[in-house]
Amino acid sequence: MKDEMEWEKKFTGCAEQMKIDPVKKERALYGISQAACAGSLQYRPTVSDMIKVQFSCIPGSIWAFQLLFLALLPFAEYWLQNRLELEGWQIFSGLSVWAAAGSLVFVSELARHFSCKMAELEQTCYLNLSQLWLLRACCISGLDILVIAAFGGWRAESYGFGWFSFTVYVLTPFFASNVILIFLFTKGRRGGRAVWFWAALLAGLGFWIQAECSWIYEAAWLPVWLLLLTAAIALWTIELRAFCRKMEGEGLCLN
Amino acid sequence: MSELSADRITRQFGTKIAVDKVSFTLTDGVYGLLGSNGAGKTTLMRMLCGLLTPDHGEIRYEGELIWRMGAQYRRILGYLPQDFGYYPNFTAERYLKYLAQLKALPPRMIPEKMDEIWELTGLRDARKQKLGTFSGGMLRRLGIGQALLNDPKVLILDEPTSGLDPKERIRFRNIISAMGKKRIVLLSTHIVSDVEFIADQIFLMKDGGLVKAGSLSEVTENVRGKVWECLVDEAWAKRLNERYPVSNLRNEDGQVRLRIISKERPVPDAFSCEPNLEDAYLFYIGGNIRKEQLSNHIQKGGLQ
Repeated sequence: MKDEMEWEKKFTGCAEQMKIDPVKKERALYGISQAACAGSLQYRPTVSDMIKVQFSCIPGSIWAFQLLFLALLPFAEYWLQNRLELEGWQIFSGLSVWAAAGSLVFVSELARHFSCKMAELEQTCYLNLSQLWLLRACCISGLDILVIAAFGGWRAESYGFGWFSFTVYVLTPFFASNVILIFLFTKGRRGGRAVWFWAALLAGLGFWIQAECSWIYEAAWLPVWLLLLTAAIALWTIELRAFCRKMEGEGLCLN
Repeated sequence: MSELSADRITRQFGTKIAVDKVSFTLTDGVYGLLGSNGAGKTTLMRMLCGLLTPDHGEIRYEGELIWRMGAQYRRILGYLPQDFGYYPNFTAERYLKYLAQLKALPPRMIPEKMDEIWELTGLRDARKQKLGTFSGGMLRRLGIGQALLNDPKVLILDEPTSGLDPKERIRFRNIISAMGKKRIVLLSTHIVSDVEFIADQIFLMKDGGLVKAGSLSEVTENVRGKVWECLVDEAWAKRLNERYPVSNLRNEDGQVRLRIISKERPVPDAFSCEPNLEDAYLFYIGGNIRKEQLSNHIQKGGLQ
C-alpha cells in the first residue's frame, strides 16, 4: 500500500514536469478521432446479428406459413393414426412428407429475391445474396429440425422407439426431399422432362420403401439410416455451397 | 483519394462481345458513360460492381483485385441498378433499414443515416408508405438514396435520373456533382445534358469499346469545325438528313434549321458553330438523334 502511494506520488510529480506540445496533442487527438471514425465504419456484424436481421427481414407471411406447417405436425400425426388408421411405422413416411413440405417455404423465399428484381442489388451489399440465402436456408431449416426433434422427443415413446431413432427416421426423408428440390430448382430447370421423371421416380420409390417395408425400422438398420441421413446432409450442404458459388460467379442470372 | 482501375476488361455473352478490352483509371470525381443501347454500358457497370466477372482483364480498387476484396469492396460500393427492384409490401422505411443492415451499417448509425436520406430524397412524408404505392420517380429517388446509405467510396449509378421530373433531375444532378468531390461516381445515362453538366470526365462507348474519353472540352475538341447550322426547306432537310448526322432541328417560318455534323460544309450557306456534347456523341457514336423524328414530321407534312 505504502509502495503504491509512493509510486503514485512519483508519477504525479513526473507528469507535472512533462511539457505538453499542443501541436502534437492536436495531431494525436485527430489521429484518434480518425481511427474512431474508421472503427465505426468497419463495424462487422456477428453471426447472431446477421441471424437476427434475417429473422426480422423474412416476411410475416413466410413465418406464418412456416409456423402453421410446424404447428400442424401433431394434427398430421393424429389424422394419419386415427383417420387413415396407419401402423406406427407407416406414420413416419407421412410425417416425413409433411416435414419435407416445409422445404417449399424456403425455396419460395429464394424465388422472391428474383421475382422482385432485388437479387442484383442485394448481391452488391456487404452481406450479399448468397450469404443471405445461405443464412435464411440455415435459419428456416434449423427451425424445422428443432421442431421435428422436439416433436420426436414428445412422441417417440408412443411408437416404441427412442427419441434419437425417431428423429433420424423423420429427418432422413426431410433432407432427401430438400436435396431433390434444390436439384430440381437448379440443375433440373434445364434438364428437361427426363430429369423431372427420374427425380419423381426416386422420391416415389423412397416413399414406397418407407411406407411398405416395416423391416427397415428394425434396430439393425439404424446405422444404414444414419448413413443415409449423413449422405443427405452432405449432399444438401454441397448443393447449397454450389448454388452460392454459382451466384458469386453470376452463373445464376440475376434479375 | 480512391482509385479504381480496369485493365483490358472483356466480357462476352455467347458470340456477342459486350465489353471489349476496356481500360481506364478512375479517381475521385464524376464520370459520365454515354453510349447507345447495347453499347455495353450496363455490362461494364455490372463488372465494376463485381456482379459479373470479366472473361479477360482485371479490375482493381486501390491496387487490389475487387473479386479478391469481396465483402471489403462491397462495403465501399454504392449501386443503383438500371432495373431497380423493391419488395412492394415493404414500407420505404423498412426497405432502407433492410438495405442498411445488408450494407453492415452499425446499428446506432442507421437512424441518423436514414434521416439524411429522407432529407436528400424528399421522401420523409412517404417513409411509412408501402413501396407498391410509389410512383416511378419516387422509386428512383429511393434508389439513389439507398445507394448512398453506406457513404460509398465508389458510387455506380445506372440511369439515375430517368423517370425524374425536371426539377428533381436538376436537384439530383447537383447532389451527384457534389458527391464526386469525395468519391468516384460513375453514371450512365441517355440524357446527354446530365453528363454535360456534371461529369468531370466523359466516356463514349460504342460496340463494347471506349471510343473517346476525356473532359467535355477534350471530347468536343475533335468536333470543332465539323458542326454546321443551316436553314433549308423541308425537301432539302430530308435530303441532308439522309446524308449527314443531324444533331438538332427546328422549324422556323416554314423552313427547317438543321444542326449537321460534317467534315465539309454541307450546303453553301451553312455556318460553322461551337460543338456541344450531343454533336460529339453523334460524331463518335454515329447514328442520327432526330432521324426518326424528322422523317415522321416530314411525312406528316411539316414540323411541329
